[in-house]
Amino acid sequence: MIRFEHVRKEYENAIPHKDVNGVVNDGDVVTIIGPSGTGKSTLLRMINGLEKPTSGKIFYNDEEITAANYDLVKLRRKVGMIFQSFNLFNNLSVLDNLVLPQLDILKIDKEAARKKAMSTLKKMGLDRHYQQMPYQLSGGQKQRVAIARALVMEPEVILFDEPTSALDPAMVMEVENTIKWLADGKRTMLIVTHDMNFAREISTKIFYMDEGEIYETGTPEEIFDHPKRSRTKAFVTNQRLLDISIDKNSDFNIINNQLQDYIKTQKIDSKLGYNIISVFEELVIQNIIPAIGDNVVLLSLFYDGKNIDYKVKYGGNQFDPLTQDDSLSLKIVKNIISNYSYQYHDNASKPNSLKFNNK
Amino acid sequence: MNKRFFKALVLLITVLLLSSCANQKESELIESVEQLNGKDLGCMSGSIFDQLIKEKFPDSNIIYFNSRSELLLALTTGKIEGFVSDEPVAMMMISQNDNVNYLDEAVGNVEYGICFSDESKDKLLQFNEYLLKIELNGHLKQLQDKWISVDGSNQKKEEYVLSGENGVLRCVTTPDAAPFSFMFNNEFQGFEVELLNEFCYEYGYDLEINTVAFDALLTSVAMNKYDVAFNGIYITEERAKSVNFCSPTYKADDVVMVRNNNVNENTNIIDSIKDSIYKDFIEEDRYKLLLSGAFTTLLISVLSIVFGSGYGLLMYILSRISKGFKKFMDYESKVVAKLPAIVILMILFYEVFRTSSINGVTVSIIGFSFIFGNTFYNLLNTGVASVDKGQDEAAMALGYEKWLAFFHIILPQALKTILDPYIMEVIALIKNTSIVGYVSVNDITRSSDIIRGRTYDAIFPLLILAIIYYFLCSLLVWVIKVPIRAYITRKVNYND
Repeated sequence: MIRFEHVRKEYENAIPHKDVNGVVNDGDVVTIIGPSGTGKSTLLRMINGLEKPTSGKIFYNDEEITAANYDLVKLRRKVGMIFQSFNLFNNLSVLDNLVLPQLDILKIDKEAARKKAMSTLKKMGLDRHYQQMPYQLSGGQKQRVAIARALVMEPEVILFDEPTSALDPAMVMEVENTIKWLADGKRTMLIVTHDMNFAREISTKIFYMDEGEIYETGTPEEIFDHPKRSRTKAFVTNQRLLDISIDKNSDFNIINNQLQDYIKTQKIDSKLGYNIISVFEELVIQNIIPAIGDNVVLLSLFYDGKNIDYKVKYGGNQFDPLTQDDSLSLKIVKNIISNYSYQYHDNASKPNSLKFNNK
Repeated sequence: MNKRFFKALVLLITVLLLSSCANQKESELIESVEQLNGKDLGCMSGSIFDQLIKEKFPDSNIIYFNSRSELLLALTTGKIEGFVSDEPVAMMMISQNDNVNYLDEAVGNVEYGICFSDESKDKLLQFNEYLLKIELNGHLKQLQDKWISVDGSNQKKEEYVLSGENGVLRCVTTPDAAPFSFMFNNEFQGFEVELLNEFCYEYGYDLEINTVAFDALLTSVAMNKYDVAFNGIYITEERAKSVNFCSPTYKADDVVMVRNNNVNENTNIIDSIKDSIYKDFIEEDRYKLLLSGAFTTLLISVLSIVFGSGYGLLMYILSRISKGFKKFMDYESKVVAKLPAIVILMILFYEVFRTSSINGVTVSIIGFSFIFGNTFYNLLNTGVASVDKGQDEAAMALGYEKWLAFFHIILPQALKTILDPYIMEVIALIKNTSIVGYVSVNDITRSSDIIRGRTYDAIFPLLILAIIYYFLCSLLVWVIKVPIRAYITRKVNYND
């Protein structure tokens, strides 16, 4: 069990933690989310003593690890850590990355260490790579080897500090699946991540950090679907929201990339993704932009995990695109949207306003 | 194999190019002193002859050299048209070298003397007393006639059993000044050696002879490191200011050395190489001198690398423990890096360890270990800084103790980055040891100088020196790389 009591952390020019209190029970899989700069990674690094709080206490199994004479080396042998940048030992082969720490720290026999390393690599499907050097591996493989290295030390707790942030999107799944496989209820795990879907799928408990504290705690459903406090609500909504301004001088390729990124990070399936791109290209570019001159279009998307809510606002004279003559592009749009409504507000800065969903 | 063959080929081509350079000659034959004005003339740096040349040949350009053998080399290769020498040495040179001669007309004269340190003034008085005695009884003349002749370098001194009841006369020489001071069959011989030997016998001293580079000869006595310096030294006013000369032991004319013909004789290159090999190695067992020199160079290099690396690592570890110490070391190592090795060695030898009985080899090892340690300290700083901070964090998070992580994880990676510069520094160190002649050590360079001072053979000993350094460096680099590579990869050795 890990317990934070009135933890405060000050840097010269920032105070990420003002008063952090919280409990992680054995077997919990806790995901720490929140805006950047709220000290999520710092909180994780305090658990194995890589960072020290300015004041306050942290307990591990009722022993105060923030005490001056506490043996951090002993603690770290029970707490594994996975880093954003993998931190495999670059001069050692995959196998030796797993074996040398066992020899140096657990002081076990060479053959026993190798046996354990090989069986762990095998379980994770990495045994083919045991002779390779870290630079020969892909990012996803490196991170899985790092996880294997933590596992052979038989930790009670594993800390994941943004384990997929440095990975190509294609490799994120590979690592996330490995972490899910580890979350079997026997190990306590704490994860800092920006991937909200992953957080929802894996966690038994979520810490939402903001305002220098653990602002809200709850199950994934409580935090993502029924957040109680205002900042949690705003954050959770914001995670699923995308606003883009477009005018006739915009670079449409850049906007297209922005949309693709949104589709990827929200893990929107290909059919819905096609829906988004079509709305952008057929409705906004083909119909609205040519009709409004120098005015700006604001395109807002909100993905609730199943459907997409579209809001489109723009300046210029009253103009409802779907009432225009049926061009090919308008036919496409009509086929893929539903719940369409058009409003005109005289005194707004962008008087034209559309709302609709995907079909 | 191909790579080795290629290396050998490059070496051979270098040797041939250098030796072909050595045989280039110019045309005009010089037969009288009048012809010399306006020509390039050589002069030993620190000698009295540049003044003489300026007076006699006002239009000539003076080129300075460090030793007589270099002057001779410059003359035979056509870099200079002539140089002034005292007649006794000139006689030696022409007896060893068919291509040079000296003009009959004297251009000046010199007096030779032996130097005594300030702390040995009582011994100087005794020596002058002895000189006067043997001058009056005619023995001095006998000695002069025996040694100072064309055949002088083949003479041997009379052997005496020295009692040493009144202590030791600590002498130093550059044995490259036949017939005054030279090595024959790896023993000190010469006019002055015999003179000092007899003096010690008469006055109950033991005789100890050390060697040092000529540039450091007078310094070593002026600093009271030794009692006596001798090497056929000319008595000059300027030198007399820092050391105490005895009464002149000999007076001689100054003559001008020139080439005697402009065509290389009919010997072919193979014969001349054979001749050189015989003269420079086999005759008088000179190869033994080279071997012991090579061993000394190897000893100083190896121990300096081992101790220096240890010292540098220790300083680095201490600097990791204490920030204040790190500040000091960062500053100190940068100061040391800017000092020439020769300055550090001479300060250690002539000042710090002046009165102690530590010999030149030990001082050299101390000095070079210190220099190399500071270099290694700087390299370690760079190397460790280049290792990603995450490596240390990962080790910490796994439960490594701080120093175990440093030696098992961080240091191997740091060494990998700095391996190439480290090897370059090792090579630089080995080459740098060639200056230890200044602190009384007979290393390989000094040994080669001594042989050149004896045979006056121009280029061949230098080529051999180049080859020996090449192999010494290659050998050491190869030996050093093995354990470092093993440490860097830190492979776990499994039983199968």
